Formats: sequence, C-alpha cells, structure tokens
Amino acid sequence: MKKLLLSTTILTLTACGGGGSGSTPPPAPTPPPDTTAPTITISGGNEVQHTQGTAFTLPSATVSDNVDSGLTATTSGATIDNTTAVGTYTITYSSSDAAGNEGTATLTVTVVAATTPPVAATFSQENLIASLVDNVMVPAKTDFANKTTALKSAIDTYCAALPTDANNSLAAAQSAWKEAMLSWQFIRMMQVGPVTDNNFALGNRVYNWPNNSTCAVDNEVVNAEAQGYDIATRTDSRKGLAALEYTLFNTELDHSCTLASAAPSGWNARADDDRKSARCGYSSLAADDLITTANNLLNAWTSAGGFAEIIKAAGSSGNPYADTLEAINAITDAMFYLTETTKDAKVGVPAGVTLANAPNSCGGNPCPEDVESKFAQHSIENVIANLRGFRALLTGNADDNLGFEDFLQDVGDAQTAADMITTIDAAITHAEGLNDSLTGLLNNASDEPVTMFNNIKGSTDLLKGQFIQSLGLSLPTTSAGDND
Amino acid sequence: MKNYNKTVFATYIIGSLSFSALADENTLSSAATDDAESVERLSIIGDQSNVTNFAGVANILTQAQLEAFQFDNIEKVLAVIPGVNLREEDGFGLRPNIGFRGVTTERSRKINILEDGVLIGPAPYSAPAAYYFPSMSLMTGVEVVKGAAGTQYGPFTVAGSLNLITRPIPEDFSGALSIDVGDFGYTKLHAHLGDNIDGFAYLFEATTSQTDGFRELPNDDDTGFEKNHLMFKARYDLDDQFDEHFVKLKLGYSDEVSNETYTGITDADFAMNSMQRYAVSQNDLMEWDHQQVQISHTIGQGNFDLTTKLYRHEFARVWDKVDGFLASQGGFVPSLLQLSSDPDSDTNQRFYFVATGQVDSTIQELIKLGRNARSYYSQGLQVDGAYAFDGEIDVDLLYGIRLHSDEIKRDHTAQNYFMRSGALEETVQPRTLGTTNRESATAVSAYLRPTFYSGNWQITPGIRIESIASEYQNRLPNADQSVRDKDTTVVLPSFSVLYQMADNAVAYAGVHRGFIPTTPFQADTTDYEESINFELGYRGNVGPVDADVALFYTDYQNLVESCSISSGCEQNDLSFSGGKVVVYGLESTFTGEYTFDKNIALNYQLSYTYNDSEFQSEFFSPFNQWSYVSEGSPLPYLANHRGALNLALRIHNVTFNTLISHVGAMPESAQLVPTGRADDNPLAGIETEALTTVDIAINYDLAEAWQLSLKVDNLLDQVQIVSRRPYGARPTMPRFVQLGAKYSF
Repeated sequence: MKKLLLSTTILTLTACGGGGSGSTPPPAPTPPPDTTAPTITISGGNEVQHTQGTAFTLPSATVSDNVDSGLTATTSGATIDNTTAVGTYTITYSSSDAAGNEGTATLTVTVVAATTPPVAATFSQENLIASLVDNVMVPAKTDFANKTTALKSAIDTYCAALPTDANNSLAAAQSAWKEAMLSWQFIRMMQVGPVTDNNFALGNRVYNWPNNSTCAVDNEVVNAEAQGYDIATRTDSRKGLAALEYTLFNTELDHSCTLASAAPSGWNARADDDRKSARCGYSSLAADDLITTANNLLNAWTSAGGFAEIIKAAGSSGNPYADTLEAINAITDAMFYLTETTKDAKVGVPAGVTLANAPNSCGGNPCPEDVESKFAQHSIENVIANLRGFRALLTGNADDNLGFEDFLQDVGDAQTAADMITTIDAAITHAEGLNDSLTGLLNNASDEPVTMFNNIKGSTDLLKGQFIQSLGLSLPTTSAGDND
Repeated sequence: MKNYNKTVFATYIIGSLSFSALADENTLSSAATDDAESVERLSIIGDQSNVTNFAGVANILTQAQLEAFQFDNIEKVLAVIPGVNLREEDGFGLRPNIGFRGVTTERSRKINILEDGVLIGPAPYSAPAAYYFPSMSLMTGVEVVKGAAGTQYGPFTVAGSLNLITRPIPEDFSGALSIDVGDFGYTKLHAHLGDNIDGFAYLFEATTSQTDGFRELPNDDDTGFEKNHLMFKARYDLDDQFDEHFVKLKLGYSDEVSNETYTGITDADFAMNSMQRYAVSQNDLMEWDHQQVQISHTIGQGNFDLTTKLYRHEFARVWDKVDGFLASQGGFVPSLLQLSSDPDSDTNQRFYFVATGQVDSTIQELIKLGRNARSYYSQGLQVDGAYAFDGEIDVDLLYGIRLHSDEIKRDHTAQNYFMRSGALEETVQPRTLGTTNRESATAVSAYLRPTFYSGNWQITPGIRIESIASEYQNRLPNADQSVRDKDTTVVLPSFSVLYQMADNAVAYAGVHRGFIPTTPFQADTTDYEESINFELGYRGNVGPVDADVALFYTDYQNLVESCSISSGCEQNDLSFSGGKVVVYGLESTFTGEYTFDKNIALNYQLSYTYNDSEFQSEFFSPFNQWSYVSEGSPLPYLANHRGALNLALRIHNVTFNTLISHVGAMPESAQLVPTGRADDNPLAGIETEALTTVDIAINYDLAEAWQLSLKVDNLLDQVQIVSRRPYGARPTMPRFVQLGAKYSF
C-alpha cells in the first residue's frame, strides 16, 4: 500500500531554461539549441508523510529529457531520519542536461508523531473506526486548523505590504489559500459528526460553494468597514474559503452585482488602492473567522467527550450509534460526496455530461462558467484532494493502518479492495497529469474532463455496488434514487 | 328493522332545516330515500326516527337542507355537523380534508367515505387518501355517524363514517333543469330526469360546472376547474310474493380538469394580496376521471331484508405540480415550506425571486415538476341484512359481510424547468422516474350487531372483523420487484346502551375499539393505529329546543400518521408513530322552530364542538406536522372551538337562509416552541387564524315549477390562511355571489 499524504503542499515542478543564452550561434545545419529542461518525476508523488521514530527511505526519481538520456537526479535540502522532529520539510531534486538546462522537483515531507495510543492492526469494526478517527479524520482537522492560521498570517503580511506589495505577498497569500483549500477538500470526503450538525452549519461556514455569492461578498467588504462589525454573525454565503478566493484571486476590482439595487454604494468610484486595501482588510477578518471555525471543529472532535470518543464507543449504552456498523455507515454515507459532488457537480456539470436533474449553464455544452474555484483556477486540485481523502479512508492513511480495504478483506472481498485502490489511483494519476486548469480544458474542448468524470465514476460505481453490498451497509438516502 | 319504543319523536330534527323541508313531510322524514329504496341500505341511519333511537351521534342532512344552499363544497355542507374537523385547501372543496373527532384530516384518509352505503374512496384499503370525492351536486342526503354505533362500517373505526346518498329514482315522470352563474366565471348546468314505467324505473342525471378560479397567476392563466358528472340508475321490480324485491343498476362517470396547486405564498405576500399565486405554479394541473358500476339485489319481507351489492370503481389521475427546487451542483436547497416560511434569508431569497418569476433560474435554482400519475380500482361484493325477532325481549339483528379488493398503481415522473422571463422552460434533461409501485389489498370483513330491547333499555353488543391481505411491489425498472405481502386480522368489539329517560329524552353511552389499518407498503412490523373510544350522550327536548349533546374520549394506544404531499411530506406512505394520545371533546346540536303565522316561520340550528388533544409523551418525529413534540402538545389542525348557526326564515314563498360558521385557530404543527435546531418544524408555534364566515341564500319560489335563487358565500369577504401546508399560505374562498334558476317538472 502506498503512503498517503496527510499534509498537502502545492505541487512545484519547475523547469528553469535559458542555458544557451549569450553563446555564439552554431553554424548551420547545427540543430537549434536545446532550451528544454529535464523533467523529474518523484516516485510516489511530491508529498509524503513520515512517522516520527521510523526509518526514512528517500523516494527515487526518474528523469526524462527531450535530448539526453540516462540522466539522474541529485537531492538537496532537508535530511530526514528517525530523529527528525515533527514538522514539514522540503527536499529538492535537481538534474541538468548536457546543454546545461536544470530541472527541479520538490518533495514535501510531513513528519508526524507516532500515533498514540497505537491502533491495533487486527481487524475489527471497533479498530477500523479508531484507525479512521486517529489516522485520518482527526489529523485532517488538525492540519486544516494549522492551514487557516498560516492563511491568516499570509494575508496580514499582504495587507501590510499594500499598496505597493513590492515582494508580491499576494502570491504567498494565494498560495496559503490553496493550502487551506486542499486541506478542506480532503476533509470534505469525511463529513461525519459535528460538521453535519444543523444542516452542515460548520461545514458551510468554512466553505459554502456552490451557494456562495460574490455580490454578497462585495457588500460585505464594505459592511466590514463599519464600526462594530462582527463577522461571526454574518451568513455563510458572505465568508469562508469561497469569499476569500474572490477577495484574493479576483483581479477585477469593480463589484460583481448585476442588480444596481444590490450593489455596494459608491464602490466602483473608489480608488484602486483603496479597494484593494478594503478587500484585504475583509480577507483578514474572514481568515480569523475561518480559524475560529476550524478550531471549533477540531475541538468538537478532540475535546473530552468529543465526537472522536463518541464514534469510537459506537454501540455502547446511550451512544447515538446503536452499533459499530451504524457508525461505519455514517462514514460511508459521507464518502458519497465523491458521487454527488466530486463526480457530478464538480466535473460532470461543467463537462456537459448529461446527468439526471443536473443541467449546466451552457445548454449541455462544456461550461467553464460552472467550474468550482474559477478565480483561483483550482478546480482540478480540489478534485484531486477529494480523491485523496477518499483514498485515505480506504487505506487508513498508511499501509499498516486499518482502512476500508481491510474491512473488505475481512469479509472476504479482497478483489473489491484491490479494485477500489486501483480505480482511485487511476483517477488521481490522470488528474495529476493534466497540464491545464479545468477552465482551460473546457475552453479548448478537450475530452479530458469527460475522462476525469469516467475515472471517478469507476470508483463511485464500486462504492455504490460491491463495496456497500460486501460490507452489508446501506446507501445514503440521497443516493438511493440515483439514476446514473 | 324494528323501531325501538313507539314514542318516536316525530318532529325531532337532528340535521339542519329549511322551510321547503318542513313543507314536505316525506322529505323530512327520510334521508332522501324512497319507499322501495328505504330497505336497501343505501343509508346508514335510515330516517329521522332512527336517529332518535340511535345509540351514538348520528346526523342527517336531507335533500331540502342541501338545496337551501346548494353547496358544491362538502366542507361547507358539513359546517353544521358537530364533531367534524376540517382543513380546507383549495376553497372549492375539490379534494377535501375531513376528519371526525380529531382524526387526521389529510385527504379524509381516516374516515369511511361511502356513496349509497358503498366505500367510494379510490382504494380505501391500499391508499386511503381520498383524491376522488363524489360531487355534492348529485347528492340528496348526507349522513355522519360516529362512535360505537357506527362500527358496522369499516375499515376505519376510530372516527366514523360519512355516507353520501345519491338522488333516488322517482316513482313518476319528473325532473329538473337548473343553471347557476356566479363570480370568477362560474357556471353550472344541472339536469335530472326519471320515470317509473310498469316496474322499470330509471334516473338520468348530469351536471357540469366550471370556473376561472379566484386565485391570480402573474400570467393571468386560469386557476379554476371544469368538472362533469353523469349518473344513470335503473331499477327493475321483480314481481313476486315479497314485499320488496328488485334489482338495480347504477352507472357513474365523472371527470375533472383543475389548475390546482399545492403551492402557496409567504405570509407577507398574503397580507398584500391573498389571492396571488406564484409564477412557479403556472403549469400545475390536475386531471382525473372516475367510473363506477354497481349492481344490487334487494329482497325484503316482514321482519327481514337482505341487499347484495356488487361494485367496481376505477379512478385515474395525473397531477402535474411543483415539488420544489433542485440545484445542479448541490448545496442547501430550501423546501417550498421553508422558502415560504423564511423567504428573505441569505440562503432562501434567490429561490423566492425565482419562484415569483422576478429573476431567472441559474442551474442552482431548478424547478422540479412532479407528474404523479396514479390509477386505482376498488371492487367488491357486500351483503347487508336485518332480521327482527319478536319475543319476550325483542331483538333487531344487523349483519353483513363484504369481500373487497382494491389497488393503487403509482407511476410518478418528474421534469425539471428553468424560470425564464416569468415562464417555465424545460431543461435538456429527460423526464426522470419517481415512485413507481403498486399496493393492493384484499379484505374480508363482517359485522354482527344485535340490539336487545327490554323496558326502557336498548343494548347493542357489536362485533366487526377485518381480515386484510395486502401486497406491495416496487415497479421501478432495475429495482427489486419482489412482492412484499402481509396479513392483518383484527376483531373490533363495540358496546352501546341507550336508556329512555322520558318520552322525549334518551341517554346513551358507547365504547368501541378503533382501528386504522396500515397501508401495504408498511412493513408488517409496523403497528397499526388503534384506540379505545368512549362516548356519553343525551338527546331530548329542552322546552322548545331539541338538544343532542355528547361527550367523546378517544384513547389512542398508538397514533399513526403517514406521508402525503398534501400534508407537506415528500415520501409517499412512510408512516410515523406518535404513541399514546388522547383526544376528547363535546359535540352538541340545538334545533327548534318558531311559527309566527302560516306565512312566516323561523327555524334554527346551532351546533357547537369543543375539541382538545394531548400527546402523552415527549419525542422527536420526522413527520413534518410533529417534529419536537412535548407531553401535552396538541394535534395539529384541530381547532378547540367550532360552531355554526343556521337560520331559515320563510316569509310567504321566499326563504332567507343564513349560515354563520366559526372555526377557531388551529396549530400548524404539534411542535409549539422552536428549539433552534435545524430540524425544528418550520411552522412551530404558528397557527391558522380563527375564521368566522357568513353565507346567505335567498330562494324564491316564483311559480309552481320555477325557483330563483341568490346565494352569497362569504358575505363579509373574510379571507384567512386555510393552512400554510404543504407549501405556503393558501386562502379561503373570497366572497362569491351566485344567481340560479331552476325549472322542475
């Protein structure tokens, strides 16, 4: 089983060219100079989680180049071993071709503390729940809380640098938003417990797509300038990660309201610097609110008597889950996010795949208008994070942890366990290999979005079929009438 | 059947009154049954003298009483009957919601609805929600029977039975033709003709009515209906040694097309214009047709009679109506009830703008129109008889057996629409399948009710048996289509006693077991509804006033409600248990007359009902009329007070009829106080307002054969919210003026 990433970091593959610059032109018919840098592919991906106190093996890398063959990569940066402290480290892989073009790839290593108490590796439904809680769901919420703190810090740095922003602190703030977003999209696959209370009140407060409103955010930027403004009392469509995407990524400074009556008064007449500053000020408040929500969510799980304890004690007297299978079924219900949202809403609708009950805004044609995270052009990354969240529940986040694949093996359906890993990995690999945003692909009439849809459908078909049947679970009510 | 005691209150009137009724002794003394038909068990009670000796609460409305106001709406007709609870819906009474003694009103699913003594609901056992209701235009008698004495009718024995009696076949050549016109483009034509030619008697009756409706769509489309009813009855007298011996045929056809919707409006919009309907409901349309065939044989001689009826009814309906919103990419979507309850919130406002047609839909505000097609049949063979034994103790024995089967097939589909410039435009998505299933039931039921007469006592032990075999099948393609069946057999005992206190006064008491079967869809582990019902009454003259006062107490061991869209619930036939509940109250009627001289007389009837109800436990139920129920919470849609005063003043040949009816405020949910949770009832603590309505009708007997009438329903134009379920506030009918002319021969 492959290691799965807990902490996700933006993938940074760079190729630095320009090796031939300034040299004397070669006489004809010498071929044109090689300006393409080698490409480095790190085995197992660009992020890895490492458990503190265990031996670390540096992942190998393959180097490909348009001219040279047999190139190898060297590494620099952090050294990881069994004594490395908990934290995030970067290792850079480099390789140069004969023309002097250097390619690099970055590996992010997240060192996590050994899980305590250790979860027994022998399968039982209790142990499965404990493993998913301790190895996947609680660490994910911890990670998200940390990412919101980093986001707030990056935004405040950007705000302080305005109006000039000489060091492009905006890019760092945008990068921090992407980190937080990936962390949330990973969590989104495991929405069980407190996050679902009161119609997903906590979840919607973090991220209210697709029911966010940019016009509402435009108004909120102005509202927030008033004395006594309290973002905690404001509705979900005005804040959270979707609002922050708009304020951090949207380069259009005029408001987005289509009805004049709904527009913030006087906004478009304000100076650009003033408007940037106002949006940044609101972003900082929104990041504060996100930190509060992220920590509320984390505490709801980890505090004494919190949800982690409750779900682990499923079946005990007074527990909301009558038995362990009911608790497991609550977790699998949440996994249907992959069907209804990841596959259909995020990919199928923009791709123009004909779905029952879900037309798109373009009469069934490919539709960039319906893409998630279209200001940040981050839709495919969101989907990949969803897929990784799904995979983490299958594996328990590591080879030796219990996950749903162990449950399947325990009931004698090793085939479905293997098929589910294969299909989800195929979907991840394909999505990671795409070299354009979803908007770009749709604009270019690429068939990749439909391939993405079909890849994910491979996983959701297994989920709805053999997975649920073999484990004796029931479909969530919202999925029971699915006609696809 | 034997009449108890010969001191019948010959002038006693339970039902309402009118002077044409008093003028016609024959009509008054029978619930519109002729001599030949009086033995045929079309009627539950028979004539008025039987009411007097009825050991329970029984009410009759005669032909003359019905003709005083000529209400097409059964909800109006029942205003003067005590112990009835109603939730109005469309203002016309097209699909009434009737309960007795506090049972759920939803589509009258918990009372027996009979036409001429035969179950008339589309599929009373399989799908008791009465989406078909007979036309009141064809009826010349109405009976309501509650309590222990009414348990010879089933299967619903908690509350009672409503029997509608069609026009009897005349003994001579006669008929009538009438036309009515009124507000909202209302017209009605009605004709009947019959004769008796040497033992072959027939009646043909037809009525057609239509209106543009009183609610207003932004595009000015009609919101009314067109209804047609045809009935043919024939009787052939078998000439032999029996007093009565005949066979009879009844054929009926009805249809309706109505621009009817479940969608209401917000309270704020209701305050601005209570008649408005949102653009989103513009395509809503109900269409149905109903056929019935009934063949009967009746034999009667001396102290016995026996009637055998073979019947089959078919009903098919298609209702296109807005079910709610959908979003292509998911996220929170409010139900239409949440939307109408809270239209201004950040999450709901865009849906409100789309529903009202002010803003076009995005893919996050798709409109789902369900097309709920259903076909039903109901058929059976029933035998009802009576035998009187005379001896030291006289005994009247009523007995009957019925073999009945019925079925509903649901073929629901849905199509999604965008709102575009105030009109609905189909999305490219194909129509999707919804509920596609079949429920059917076969039931054998029998009853035995001997009444023993001794001195001033009349004692009736009774027993009813219901044995029901039912089937449920999901017919969705690719679904598990295996048939799920179950059997239910119950024994329903009853006991009633009547004591003759004086020549003009009786006291009575009764106790019986109430039962409401579960529908075939319910697992056989689902408990059926059951109760123990008590009543205690007094009937007699107090000076010039005839009084009938009864107390009732219903002790539910298990109250069961089930989902229907009319109740605001999406998933058909899901059932919910409310546990122990008590319902109690008082039903009273006071009638009398004053004759000033031979040309001037005043009749009056006052009825008053008090209801109260209490859940006996605290619980949460996903049933959308309950939610967070506390101990002592009331049943929804049961008014504490309900009353009506009916006055009929005759001056020479003009009769002035006035009906003042009042219904108190009704809670829209059993949850009275919001808890702040997301699954709070959207209507927690909200009530419908009390409503007092005045109706008048002036009938002028112009000449021997002609009658003119002026009728004003809701004279004071009092419009209130009938209910906010299922999808927002809908209005009572506003003032409705109607003129009519009738020619009789």
